Amino acid sequence: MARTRRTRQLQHTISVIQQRWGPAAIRTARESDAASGPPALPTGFRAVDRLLGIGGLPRGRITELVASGTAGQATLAAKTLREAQRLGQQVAWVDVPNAVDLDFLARCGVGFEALTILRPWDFAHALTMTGDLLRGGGIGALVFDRIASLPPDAVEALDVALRDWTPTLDRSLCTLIFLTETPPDGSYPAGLTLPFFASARLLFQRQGWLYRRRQVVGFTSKVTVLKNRFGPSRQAALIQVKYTNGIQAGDE
Amino acid sequence: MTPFWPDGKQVDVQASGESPLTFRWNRRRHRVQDVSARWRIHTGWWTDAEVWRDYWEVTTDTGLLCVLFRDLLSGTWFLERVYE
Amino acid sequence: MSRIACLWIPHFVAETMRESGEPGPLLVVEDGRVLDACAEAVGQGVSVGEPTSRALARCPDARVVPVDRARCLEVWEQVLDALALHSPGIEEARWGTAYLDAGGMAGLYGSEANWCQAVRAEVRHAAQMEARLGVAGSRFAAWVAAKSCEPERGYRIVEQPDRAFLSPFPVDELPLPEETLRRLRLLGIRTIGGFARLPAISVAEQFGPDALEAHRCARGADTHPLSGQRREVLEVQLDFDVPETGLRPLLDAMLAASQGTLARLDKSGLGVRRITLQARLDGGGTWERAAWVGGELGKAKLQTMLASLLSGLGGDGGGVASVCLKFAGLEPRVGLQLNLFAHAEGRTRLEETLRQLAQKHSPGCVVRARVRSPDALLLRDRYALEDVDP
Repeated sequence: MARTRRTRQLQHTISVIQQRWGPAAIRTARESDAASGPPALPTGFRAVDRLLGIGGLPRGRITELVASGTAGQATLAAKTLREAQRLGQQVAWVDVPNAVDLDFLARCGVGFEALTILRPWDFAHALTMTGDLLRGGGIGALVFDRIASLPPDAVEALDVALRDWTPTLDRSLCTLIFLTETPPDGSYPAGLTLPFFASARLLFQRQGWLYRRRQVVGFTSKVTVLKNRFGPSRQAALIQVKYTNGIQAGDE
Repeated sequence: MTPFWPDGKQVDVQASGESPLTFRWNRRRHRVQDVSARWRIHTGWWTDAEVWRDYWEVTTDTGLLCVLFRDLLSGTWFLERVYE
Repeated sequence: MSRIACLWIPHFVAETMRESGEPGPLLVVEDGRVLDACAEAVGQGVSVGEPTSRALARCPDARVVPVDRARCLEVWEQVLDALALHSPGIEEARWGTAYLDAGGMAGLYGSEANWCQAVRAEVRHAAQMEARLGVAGSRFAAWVAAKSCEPERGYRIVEQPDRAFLSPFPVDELPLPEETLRRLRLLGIRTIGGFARLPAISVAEQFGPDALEAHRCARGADTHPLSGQRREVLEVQLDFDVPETGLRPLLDAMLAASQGTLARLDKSGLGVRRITLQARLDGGGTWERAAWVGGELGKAKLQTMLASLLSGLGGDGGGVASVCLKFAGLEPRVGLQLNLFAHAEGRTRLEETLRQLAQKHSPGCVVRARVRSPDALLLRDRYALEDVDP
C-alpha cells in the first residue's frame, strides 16, 4: 500500500515537472536509453536493425560493411537507401569502379528520381567529389562503393577525408556507408583507419545458397557486428536475400 | 554496387566445351562450382548491331554468384555481373 | 601518374618594379613593410614582411619603391599567357609562382628537360625574367625542386618518388607555423622524411588538423587535381555604320551586346580577371584601356567599369567606328562554395549542390539514372545514365 502511494506520488511529481518544463525535462531511465542514441536509418533487414540496438544504421555517422564476394553487403546498402528515400531523403551512390548496377538498384526498390550517382575518374577523385557533395548538403544517405586494397597514398587520402567529413556528417545527419571488399581469406586491407572512424561495422559472411529446382534464388548470410558505438557488438544475426521479383530481404 | 558491366568485362575463361570451368577476375582465378541458370539471347540480327550470347549464372569457389556470357559471334567471354 | 611543374620567379615583385637597367638593392614596400626584396637585399639580411626602417638598417643602400599592383598584375598576366602556350593547365598560386600540368610533355617536347627549357625561354621573352622550374608528381615536391635547382640550369626534374626526393630536406620547407616547426625540432624531427614517417593520426592529435596538409605534402601527395585556369578570351565586337560620338549610347550598346557573355560566364561559374576595351576611331586612330576585375562580373559592375574606361575616351576626339570588349583570364569564381546558394531561386538545395558539382567536375561524373526500355532483352538497354545539367 505504501509502495503504491509512493509510486503515485512519484508519477504525480513527474507529471507536474513535465507539464511545467516540458516532457524532456524528466524521463524514466527506459526513455533516456532510447533517447541517448543518434537517430537511425533502418536497413530493410529487421534482424540487423535489432542487432544495432538503435533501430538501424546511425545517422550522421559512418558505417562500414565488410564482405568478400556475394554476401549481401550491397543489398543491405541499397535497401538502406530505399529506406532513406521512404523518409523523403535524397540519396547518392559513389561508383568508384564505374560498374553501377542500375537493375539491381531498381530491384532493391531504389527510386532513380531521388538518386544521384557519382562516377569518379579514380579513388582520389572519388574522395574529392564525395567531400564536395557532403559539404553541399541535401543528401540523407550515401554509399561509397568501394574500398578494396589501396596503395599507401590512397590510404592516406582516405584518412584525411574521413577526418574532414566527420563534422559535416554530424551536422547534416547524412548516413555514410562504406562497402569494403576483402579477399576470400577475409584479411582486412592494410593501413586503413576507417575502422577507427566508423561508428558501426558489420561483417557479412554468406552461409549458403537458396535453391529452387537447382537454380540459385538467393542466399543466407551471417551478419556480425564488429563494432557498435551505440549498442552491443560481437553479436550476429542471419539474413536471407532472395532474387525473385525484386530483391527480397528477410530475416531468419 | 553489385558490379555490372553493361557491355561485359572481358575475362579469361577456361571452358570445357561450352561450359565455363574457371575465369580470372580481380586478380584471382574463380572456379565455377555450380551453374544456376543458363540462357541465350539473340537479337538485332536484322541490323548491324547483332547480339548473340550465351549467358551463365554461376556460383564459384570464391563465394560469388555472378553472370558470365560468351559472345557467340567472337567466342569471347565476358563477366556481366557479380551479385553482392 | 601525374606530373606537375612548379614555375617560380624569385623576387618577382622586386624585379617587376625595378626600372630597366637600374642596378643595386631594391625594396618594394606597402603599408610601411617590405612586400618584396631583390636577391641582393635578401642576401644582406632583409626579410619579407619586416618594417621598412629595419630593412633599411640591414641594407642602407637599398632603393625603396612603393608597389604598383596594376603593373605587377599586368606582368604576371604576361607570364601566365606565356605559360598557356606550353601547358593545358595552369594553376596560379601567387605572384611569381604557378603550377603547370606537365603530363605528357616529355612526349610532346622530346623530354621534360626540353619542355622546361622551352617554358623558361617563353617567360624570358614575355617578361624578361629568369624563371625556375621543378617537375615532380605533386605540387609541393615540384615547388621544392624549383627552389633547390641550380640557378645556372634553371630547372630540376624529380625522377624518383616524391616522398623519397623530399625526405632529406629540412622541415622548415613545409607549410607549417613556426611554433609547430619549433616543436618538431624539439622532438628531434628535423627532416621532411622524419615528419612523413609519423602516423597521420598522431600528427593530427599532436599538431592539429591543419598540420595534416603539410603531412600530405611531406608524403608527396596531392589531394585534388590541378585546378587550371582557362586562358580563353571572350570578345564582344561592335561596328558602327555611323561613328558613335556619344559616350552614353556607346555604353548602352556595349552593355546590351555583353549580356550573352555575362550570362555564359554566370552559368559556367566563371569570374573574369580583366577586361580590355579597344576602339578604332573615325579617322583611323586606335584607343585601348584595360581594367582588373578580379572575380565575378555582373551587369552592374560591368556598367561601372565601362563607364570609367569610356570616360578616358572623350578627350581623344572623333567618333568610334568600332569597339571590341575582351574578357580575359577566365577562372572559377573565388568563393564558389557548394553551400551558398545566391542563385538558388526556385532550386532545392541538392539541385544547386549537384549543379555546382557538375560544373566543377567533368561531364559523366555526376549522373542520374532513368529507365529507358523496361522490356529490353539486354540489361544495358533497360536503363540509361544522364549527366546532371550544369
